[in-house]
Amino acid sequence: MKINKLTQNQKTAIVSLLYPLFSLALIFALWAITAAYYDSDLLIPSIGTTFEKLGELLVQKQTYVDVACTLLRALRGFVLSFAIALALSVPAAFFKPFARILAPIVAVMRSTPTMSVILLCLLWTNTQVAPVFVTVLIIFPLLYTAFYTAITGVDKKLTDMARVYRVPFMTRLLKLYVPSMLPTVFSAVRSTLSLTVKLTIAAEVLAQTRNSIGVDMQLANLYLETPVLIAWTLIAIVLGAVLELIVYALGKLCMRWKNA
Amino acid sequence: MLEIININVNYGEKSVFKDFSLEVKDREILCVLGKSGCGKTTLLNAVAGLVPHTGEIKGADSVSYMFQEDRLIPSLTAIGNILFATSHLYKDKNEAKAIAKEALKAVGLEGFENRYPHTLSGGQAARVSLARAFCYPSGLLITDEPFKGLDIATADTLEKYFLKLFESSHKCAVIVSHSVEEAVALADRAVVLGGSPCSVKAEIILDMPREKRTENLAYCAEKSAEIKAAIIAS
Repeated sequence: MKINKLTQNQKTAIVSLLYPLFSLALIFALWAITAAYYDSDLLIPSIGTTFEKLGELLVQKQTYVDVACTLLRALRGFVLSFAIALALSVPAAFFKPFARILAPIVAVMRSTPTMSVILLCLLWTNTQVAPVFVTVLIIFPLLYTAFYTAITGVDKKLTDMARVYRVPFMTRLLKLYVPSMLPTVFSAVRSTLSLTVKLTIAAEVLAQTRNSIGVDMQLANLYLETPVLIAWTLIAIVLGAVLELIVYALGKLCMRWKNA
Repeated sequence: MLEIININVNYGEKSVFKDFSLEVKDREILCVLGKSGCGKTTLLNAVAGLVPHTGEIKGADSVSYMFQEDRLIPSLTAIGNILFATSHLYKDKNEAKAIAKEALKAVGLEGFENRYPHTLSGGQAARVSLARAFCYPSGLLITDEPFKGLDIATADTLEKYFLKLFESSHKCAVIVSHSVEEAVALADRAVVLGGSPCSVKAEIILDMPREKRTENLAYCAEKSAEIKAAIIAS
């Protein structure tokens, strides 16, 4: 494909791909240099050894079972956090006393150290529920704050216009409030979804949850199989990245008007 | 007809309007002028029900408001923005859509129905806002510096559309403006507000028919001077 025969859009797409590819190349170069310097698979395994172990994991059925179970736990926690955050942020945005009552509760949840939450959840719940519970306690305040900000940040000039023209509540909600909130909501979902995966894995490590990426990582660590540990880390990174990509694509679809 | 009877509007401790009265007759265009901060926009917002007030306002049960900014919802198309304000008033949605299309055609935006606000120029967005105001079935149209920030040619075009739609809509209109030329071109009567609390400091009648004013420069100059002097004195 000759460069001068490409359309402007094609050139832009190629250039925008070059940046992340360059970043990846930089990361692998640093990895290779560091691994060569330490020359120890226990400390920093080589790229080759790590990808060999990754290959071994990818042909095992249990790998996919563990990934699916971790993903389901993460999504369960996320969906629950999303639903509770939305259900509470809407009345909080329109009824100030309710927002004032919730504010200190949300602040405490946001400030509580993640490890405290995980250890307490292990005491209060079982190994299967703990990762979901941890996710809700940590992700809910982030989503609540984002949703509350999105609703109260809807342009007052537009809400005044809707008031003057006596637009019914449902029409205002669906055609003014929801579209106005979408950019903030999608941005919050993108950042919290990958955090959810990380939290779930951390909780699984401590809770020893059966069929989980967390336990797989802990076992690799126990047996000093650093290449396997990093291979699982790569799987977790890809999982988070795929989820972010899905949310990004959904966002583009829901906010088509931005690119019109 | 709009009747504002002894209204009081306060912002905190400050009294913006105290026992303020004003009347606008049917088919009349009233232009409200005055120094910045005198309360012109507050008056419009009180009429539209956006600021609390005591006293009585008759004839403002249903108001079309063309704001200073276009106030178009970015995620709705041009026709979507009109329907947002009007579709709940019609049982037949197709009728609402047809009226919205006609309004866009009347302001020279035929073919722009499915364009989003960020793809429209300032003048085009103002025309959609104008079409929305005239589509909304009400007896009163209020506008707050509707042609502000537009170049002379675009403002002139919009004034023509405004008059064309006003003549066919049987509304009365209140226009807030800083432009004396706009007042002389559009209004049947101009009032100058001033003081604290705000009151009517001057009233200028423009009795010459609008279509004849452009030919009579002396008349326009005389009225412009009268309005300017009243604003300075307020």
